[in-house]
Amino acid sequence: MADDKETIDDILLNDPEMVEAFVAEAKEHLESIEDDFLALERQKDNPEQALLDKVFRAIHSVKGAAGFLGLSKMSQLAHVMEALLTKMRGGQILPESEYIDSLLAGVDLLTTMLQNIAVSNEVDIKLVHERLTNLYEHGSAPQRKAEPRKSTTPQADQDKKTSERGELDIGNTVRINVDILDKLMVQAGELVLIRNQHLLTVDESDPVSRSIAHRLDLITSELQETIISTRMQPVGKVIDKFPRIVRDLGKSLGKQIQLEITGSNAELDKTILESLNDPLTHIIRNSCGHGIETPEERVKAGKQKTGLIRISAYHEAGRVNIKITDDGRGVDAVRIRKKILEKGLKSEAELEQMSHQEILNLVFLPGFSTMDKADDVSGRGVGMDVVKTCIEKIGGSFEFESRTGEGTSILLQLPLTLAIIPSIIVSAGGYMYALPQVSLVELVTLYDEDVRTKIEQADDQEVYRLRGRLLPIVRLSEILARPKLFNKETRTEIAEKYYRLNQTAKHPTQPSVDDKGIALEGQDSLSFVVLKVGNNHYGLVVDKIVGTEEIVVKPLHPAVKQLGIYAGATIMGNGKTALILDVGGIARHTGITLAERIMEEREKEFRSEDLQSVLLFKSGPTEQLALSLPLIRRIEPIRVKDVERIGDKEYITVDNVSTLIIRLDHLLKVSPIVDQEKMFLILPRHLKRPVGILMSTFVDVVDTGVDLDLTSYQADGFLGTAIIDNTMTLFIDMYRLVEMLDPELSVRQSRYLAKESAGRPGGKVLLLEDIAFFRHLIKGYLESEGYSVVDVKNGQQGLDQMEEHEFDLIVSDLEMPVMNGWNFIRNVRQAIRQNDIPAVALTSLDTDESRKKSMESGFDYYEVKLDKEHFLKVVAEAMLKSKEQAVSN
Amino acid sequence: MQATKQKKTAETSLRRYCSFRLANRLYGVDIRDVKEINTEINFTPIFHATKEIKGYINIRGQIYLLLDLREIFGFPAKELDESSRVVLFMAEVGELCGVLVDSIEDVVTVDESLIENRRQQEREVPENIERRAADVGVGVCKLEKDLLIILDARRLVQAVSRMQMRQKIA
Repeated sequence: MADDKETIDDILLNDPEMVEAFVAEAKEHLESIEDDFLALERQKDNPEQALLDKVFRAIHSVKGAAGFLGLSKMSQLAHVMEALLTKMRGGQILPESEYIDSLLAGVDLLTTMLQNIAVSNEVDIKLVHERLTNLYEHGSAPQRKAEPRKSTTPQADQDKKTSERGELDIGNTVRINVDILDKLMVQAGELVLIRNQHLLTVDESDPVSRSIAHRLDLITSELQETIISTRMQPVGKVIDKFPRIVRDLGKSLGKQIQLEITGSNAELDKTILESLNDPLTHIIRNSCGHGIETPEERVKAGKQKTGLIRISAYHEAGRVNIKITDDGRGVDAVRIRKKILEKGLKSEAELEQMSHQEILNLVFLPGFSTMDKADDVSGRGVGMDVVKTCIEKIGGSFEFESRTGEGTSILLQLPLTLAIIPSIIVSAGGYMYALPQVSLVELVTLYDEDVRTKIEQADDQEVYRLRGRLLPIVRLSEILARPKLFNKETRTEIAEKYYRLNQTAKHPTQPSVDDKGIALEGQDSLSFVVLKVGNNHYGLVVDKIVGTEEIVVKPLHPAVKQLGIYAGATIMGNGKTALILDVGGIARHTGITLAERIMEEREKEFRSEDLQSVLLFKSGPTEQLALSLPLIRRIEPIRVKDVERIGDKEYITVDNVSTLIIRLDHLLKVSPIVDQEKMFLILPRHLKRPVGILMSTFVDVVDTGVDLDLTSYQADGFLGTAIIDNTMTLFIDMYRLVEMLDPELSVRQSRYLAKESAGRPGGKVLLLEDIAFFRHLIKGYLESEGYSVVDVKNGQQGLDQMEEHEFDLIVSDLEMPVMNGWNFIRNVRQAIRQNDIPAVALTSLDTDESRKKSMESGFDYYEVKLDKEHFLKVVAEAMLKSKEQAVSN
Repeated sequence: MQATKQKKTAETSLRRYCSFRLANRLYGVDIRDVKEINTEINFTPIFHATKEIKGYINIRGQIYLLLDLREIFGFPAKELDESSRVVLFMAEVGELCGVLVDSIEDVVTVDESLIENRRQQEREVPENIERRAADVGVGVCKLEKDLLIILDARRLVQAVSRMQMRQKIA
């Protein structure tokens, strides 16, 4: 022993580099070996020779190098493992569970020894060594007939994956110390800052300086991207070890659990990946331990004997999502309620007002998680708040969904990298603050009278009604001024302060001055950013929204780390230091995290069924015109001098795209537009060609219960009229407008449609849509194509209709009161067994999530509101299918 | 040979301090703890932080935490002026941080044997100031015209971290 120790010390002293290289290499060998063993175990009766060779080689090289370096214990252990593997290679034994178990135990021990190589010779390997030796000499103990493991579908993928990794081209890679990468990252960050500063000082009129600045800009961005990419590692590094954990847990718990992994090659920054390990392991352990039931329980519940846990990683909108679902027993909301009441964390009345999701979220209450672990509240919850905090700390978000008896689904959304993040810059009290764009939902600005009237009070909380939902509102200036955590008194104080101010401002007989001496009368706009924390949203009022900037995140000084409302610091393009706000921290500081769900429930009372947002504007001096806000991408201010004329058409460059300007008076019967120096361009959504509608005056954006009058003003290009704020308002049909602009297109389109529907009577469509405006609009589109349409306002009414009539096609909105589109279609497919009728989901929700949910619920098509051309094409296609089915039946 | 040896001993007993003024008193920190003196005094306040923390400053792309020595010693606040400076410490003193001082003075070299334990001296300083400063002061040294109060930069940073912690708990 003493000798061994000496050798190690000698080597460490004489040739530390060699030892380092050995450790790195051995770790690499052992890292992938676990998967390979598990794969072998699954192939039990017919193990793949190549895989056997691979694991043999790995253990063999560890043995060789360890022996050479005098790491005797490692070498001994590897030796007996190698011996066992030799037998396996020779076909004398098969990779049965028992062998694999001990081999894995050996791998674990080797890995432990690698962690601290200097004392590796003092590690006790006796137990594992004996076990392996025993197996080698006597074979697997009494050949107990192990239950045959179900061969799993992902097996093939996984085997393929491992072999791919095995063939990695060593010649093209270089091992680099992470410190160097970190340093490069920091330096690239500095360069980005200098670039940002430089861009502010560039003399735009000097072509040479401009071109240099442009190149610097480009190169810096590229360099930064390249350096970031060096730090990217596949998610597989963390999640690929779960098959082993799940297998071991399943065995010890007497459960049959199958694990499916997809997308393990999605890449994340090393730091993020490393901090993902613990939370993910926790989630998986929870799923195995508490989510998945025992085989007996599962059979009783009418499920497959084998439980399924699915981990999928995928890119979405500049982030990596990791989704973990299981088909276990889910979280029991009833039991959570009981526990919460017992612990006195919430009152009965409070719980009464909470939605299902809201109750589930209670498992994140810190007080909840410290409950007696033996009881476990159907398993989940213990430590869940820790998981959530972990994820939020690395700038990710955490969503959680569960149905009792059906399973649980957890979605982690993670930034690709921590070091440089796109952010939105706001100001308060003269200082700038950055907010990560990951947390940003939207920006809202109120003008004039709305500043004083649209922020309301609900109990102690200020709220804003955003498209039918009550959004809790907090004010950055108030937060910064109050270092103590908010309580009911603080919130009441703030709510009352602004209530009073707004009241006095409304009656400007007395000059209104707040306690800091700032007059509010002059304030003619109020901006807030809508931020999200997990499933919850809130609004943060700021003095000004400054813009967006790519910022380099610098960690906080340890002395101020515990402040809670900051996530870091950064240097802005102008050289000033700015703090990065912690979106979750602010929610915690102000105590609003859980408030919103309750709000939503309450909001149902307020909710007007037909409310929708419209843009009111003027083109010519006389009429007030309106366009539905969901049809508008954005509004761009333009200068008339930038307009270019080509023939009789006018173009302007927006976002580097030459955009055709539509003057409404050229196409519609409206008063001619009067050119001003500054005008606005309305850029519509969902249109393939870049066009913008010229507007002279912005009137307002209102939420209004539109009741379109379709008869009093019938002119081409209009949907109808409505009275808004006592003014007659003309609603424009955006798609008709585009058709009018390009007659050829419309001819082509109608010809196409005519051909499609030739020889057939239109067909009967059931349309579900809660917003009157869209109901009229879509019905109009469908009728103009010759379909007959029955329209209803929600899923329940839809089901009633289906009982009485037969339809060829369903077109349904998703978010509707009473019964939403998903529940409606589930009912159609399951309860009344109408499986043949095609169904099109038509919605403004454009997420993969919603798309997937819709397809799973039973929709056949998914259309985003509202691309007329494409929508009608889909309808025609679906109708065709419907007819074919009718014929074949 | 003999001479060199003697010189060497003399050198090791000599200490060099970066000295600066604060409320007319002369303070010094070990020159080995000081990274640089900078005129950049535009700081961004960190709301919620304890009042001993002035804010963040940007020094060539690095963000330094700026401590307010006047606040730490209980002296009244003073407007920043053209003689105001920041003394930035080496990273090992306490990550990236520095202190705001009224004005900067010379580097003073003193013999270690002349530094007296602060607690036994300095009676004229009011008691509350004494108590607070005692956390960070390591000694005093009589110079020709002045009394140099020697501070330990490391303890300074730790003291502020403690204050911050205390405030958070309270």
